[in-house]
Amino acid sequence: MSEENHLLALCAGDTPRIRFIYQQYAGQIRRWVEDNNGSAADAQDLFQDGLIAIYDRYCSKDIELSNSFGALLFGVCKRKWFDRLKEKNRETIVRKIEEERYTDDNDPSMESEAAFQELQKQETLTQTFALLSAQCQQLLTLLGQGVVGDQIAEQLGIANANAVYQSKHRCMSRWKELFTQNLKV
Amino acid sequence: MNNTERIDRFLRGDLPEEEKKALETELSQNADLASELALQKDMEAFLRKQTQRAALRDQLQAVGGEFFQTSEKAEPGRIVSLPRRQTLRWVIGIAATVTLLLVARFLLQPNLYDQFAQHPPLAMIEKSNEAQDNLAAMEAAFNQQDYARALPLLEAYQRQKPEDLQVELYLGICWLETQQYAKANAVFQKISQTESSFKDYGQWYLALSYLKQGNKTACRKILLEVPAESEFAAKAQNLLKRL
Repeated sequence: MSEENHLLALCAGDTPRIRFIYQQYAGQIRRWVEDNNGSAADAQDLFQDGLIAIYDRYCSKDIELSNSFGALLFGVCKRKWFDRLKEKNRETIVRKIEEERYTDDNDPSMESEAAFQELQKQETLTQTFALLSAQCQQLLTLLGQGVVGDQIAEQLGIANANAVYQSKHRCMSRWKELFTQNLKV
Repeated sequence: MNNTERIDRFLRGDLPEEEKKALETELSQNADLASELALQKDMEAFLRKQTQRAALRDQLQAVGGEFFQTSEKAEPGRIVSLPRRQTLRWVIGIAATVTLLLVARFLLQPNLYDQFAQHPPLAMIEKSNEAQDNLAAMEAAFNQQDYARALPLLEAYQRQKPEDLQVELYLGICWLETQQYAKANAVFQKISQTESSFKDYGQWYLALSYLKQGNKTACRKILLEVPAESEFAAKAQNLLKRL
């Protein structure tokens, strides 16, 4: 299966072809993680995060993949692992990997960095969305699903569509505030 | 009109032409405002695709399990015949170890209620334009699981806004967590019989309340009534299996 098809499979959530992506790259990433003080379970999480990062960056935006899918996936996984080790303050290991980051010719660093940043943003949006009240979550989810204001008003026991949008603005303001406080730079 | 509202109306094409032009000019000169616009666009996109993204994560989790298995197959052991007395000692030893492990597991495992009672965080400030101090204290106490401290604050708020079902739900959770079961049950029962968006919460919490009180029969009865479209349907099925 071609590199371009990997991306299409991921965007379409095509399980058999996603399995093929795992078949092709899981061993390589697992070996790298295990060589760098991680476990098979860490490698599984990392691989999954790497695919989600690519999904976030490329599947709903008009951005073309200029590097190979495999190199990008590997680059994002390494960046994410580096970040996780940094959180754990394992400085020696971090130093070793950081050195590698700058000497590795196969790392499509710009693209993998952009995909990693997109992943961080989406994860922060997910985490901070969960901190909103149940009512805010319901209201915003319904709006995201394209349900119209009048129907939401009826469903959530809000006076009218205008009040729905007023609530939306309050919820979005709070969400923005939480996002800004929580985003890792 | 604050920036969030202006941007939202701009994105929905609901801003009068003059205000739209003014905002566009401001966006070209004010980087902070432009960042706010970008963030709101990201939030809208997140809301549109959050279900699909969560489904993909589940899918990857399932597929990933096939390729990152950690357990290795144990090599088949040799069968060695032991003298009878030695065998008996082994059997007693193994039985004692198994019993100890079972007891330890029972003692160390969090009880069912703790496993299932994951309360949604209280977020009042975004909901109201009123004085923020009390609301912030209420949020902080509840979210830090200091239910005894949150309780009087929620009670005071509810006296002012008796029609606020959301606050009543959180009040019920505080009563539940401070073992005031009769009050908790009454409020969850009432919420479960409304046609509001909190109906599912009322039903789920009523089941949790019975679980915490050790009344598994009543808990099971409520769980069996949870409809498939309830947002707690999966949790209810899971808990039913564990009861």
